[in-house]
Amino acid sequence: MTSASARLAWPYLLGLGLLVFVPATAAVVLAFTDFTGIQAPTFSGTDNLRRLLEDEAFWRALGNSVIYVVIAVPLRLVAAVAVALVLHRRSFGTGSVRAVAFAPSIVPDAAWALLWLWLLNPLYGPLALAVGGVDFLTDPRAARIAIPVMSAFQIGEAFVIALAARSAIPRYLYESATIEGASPGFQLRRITLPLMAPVIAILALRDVIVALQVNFVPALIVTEGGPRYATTYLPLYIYRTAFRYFRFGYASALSIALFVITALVIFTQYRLAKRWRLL
Amino acid sequence: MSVTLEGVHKEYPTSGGPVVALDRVDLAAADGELVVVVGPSGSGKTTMLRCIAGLEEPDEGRISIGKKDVTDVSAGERDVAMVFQEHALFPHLTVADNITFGLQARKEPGPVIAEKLDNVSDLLGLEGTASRKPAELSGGERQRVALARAIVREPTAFLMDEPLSDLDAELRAYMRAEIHALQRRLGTTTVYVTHDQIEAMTLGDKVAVMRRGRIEQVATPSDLYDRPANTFVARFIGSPPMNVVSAAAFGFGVTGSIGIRPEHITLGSSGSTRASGRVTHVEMIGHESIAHVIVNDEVVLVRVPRNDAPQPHSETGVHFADSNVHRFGGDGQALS
Repeated sequence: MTSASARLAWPYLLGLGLLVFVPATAAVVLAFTDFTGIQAPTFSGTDNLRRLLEDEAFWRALGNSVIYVVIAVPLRLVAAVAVALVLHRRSFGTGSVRAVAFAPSIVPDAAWALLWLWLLNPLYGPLALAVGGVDFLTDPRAARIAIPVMSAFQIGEAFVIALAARSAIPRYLYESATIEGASPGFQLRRITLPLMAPVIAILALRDVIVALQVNFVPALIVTEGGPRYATTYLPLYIYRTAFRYFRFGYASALSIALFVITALVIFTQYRLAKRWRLL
Repeated sequence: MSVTLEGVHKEYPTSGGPVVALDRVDLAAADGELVVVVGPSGSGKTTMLRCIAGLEEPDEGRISIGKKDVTDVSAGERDVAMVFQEHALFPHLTVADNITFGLQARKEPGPVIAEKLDNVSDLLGLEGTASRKPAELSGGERQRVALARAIVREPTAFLMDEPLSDLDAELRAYMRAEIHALQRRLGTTTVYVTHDQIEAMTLGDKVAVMRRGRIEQVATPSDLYDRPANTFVARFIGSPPMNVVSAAAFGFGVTGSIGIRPEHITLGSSGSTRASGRVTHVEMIGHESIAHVIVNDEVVLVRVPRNDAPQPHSETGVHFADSNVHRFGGDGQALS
């Protein structure tokens, strides 16, 4: 690094240190303490870890998070890739439709959650009425589906990346396939998806990281973690442990657990993608 | 099978008004013939090939393959094969899958595909490359895979769009000969597009010279060289190009122009000279040299033996025989 670029890097490194590494280190330290925020933290060894392994609420939150990821990630990926494939051709009005596809991603999460709170309202919500009185806010199974479905429309970035990947495939590949009599379905299976696969794999990795965290706002605003804890995902559980029950030490241990789980999932995905030669 | 174009017309809308890409083009390639379409970039040759392939739809006119009118037939059902300038190999598929892509798309049975792959790999010397990816091949191998892919389907016609332009000069000459031999052996009607007039002259049974969406002349390579239909063809075919100069400057009447090939002019002050000029410079190109001579304010190129090249800035006489003079009217068309 030259001295000029080193000087430019300093503010970033300082911010990174103060705002990320110091709190992260503090969280690791706090994970081995009992800390209510009122009295000074007291060292408690591996108590928090032991408590975590026996904590039914933790395992339920983890299960909820897994269900969320399993529904949300494929849904969001399929939506992003499908919309990109439909809108990659430039024709009249495509620009506006692309803007519409991107729009939900620039709506603030809280506003998006309030919108869905209205859509899902059992008494007057258009979506709840349209699907024949399914009560998304009191039926645990329906709520477990509603929250990931909400996120399936906020695909802006993945859509743009998929659009770029599709546009990078040269037109002559499709032309040569067309001349050889390949149907659109065959072209999708044998050309488009395999050539977009590395990008889709990256999007999948990224979306799993995102999906383990972004459900906080909708779970807090739309379902408040219910009904019957069905949407109490790990982030919401950590938040409540810390700021409702003031168990900062245990909440730190939960955060570390979420970090380790995310890292394990990403590592496994990365290894699989490597083995399948996607990356 | 023959390939015939009758009155094929194609325009593209642009912000500055429609641009004519093909101006009522007629062309016929007889069964088994190799027709080369040559012209500068933007002359419409690729558009014509894409119309034959079915990738572009002509605004007017008819395209037939054999006796069948295919103007409204989709690209996949025309049963032609196209070799693209970029080779159009699928980077994620092996050589074998690239070659048999079309057979797989048409759901041919596995054993048939395997047999055809074997035959065509044999024909093109691609044995041992079946499991490799295009990125692991040399330029020449990639070109052969592209050809194999076209051949394996046993199409009624080959369409080739500047297939050699990405190769270096040495390989290009080699592949040119190979394509020629292959086409002769298979006897498949071929329309071959290039901007390289040497490729056109060496490959074509017939050569069509295009300019601005029109076919200026269709003839055998030797007819094209010996009897160009107009000044454009005269200048386009041959390297260095034919000297096309005003007729008046050489005492051939007052209107139009005359053309003389650089090898049909000799220099020297002895004997009866047609004109005199001044040598501006001499380019040595190996076994011979090209002398640039200014005659009556016009530049005339002359092929001279390397050992007999005139000195630059010297005055010299210009000799040529009347029988080697091509005459063109004021509109640039050849006068019989």
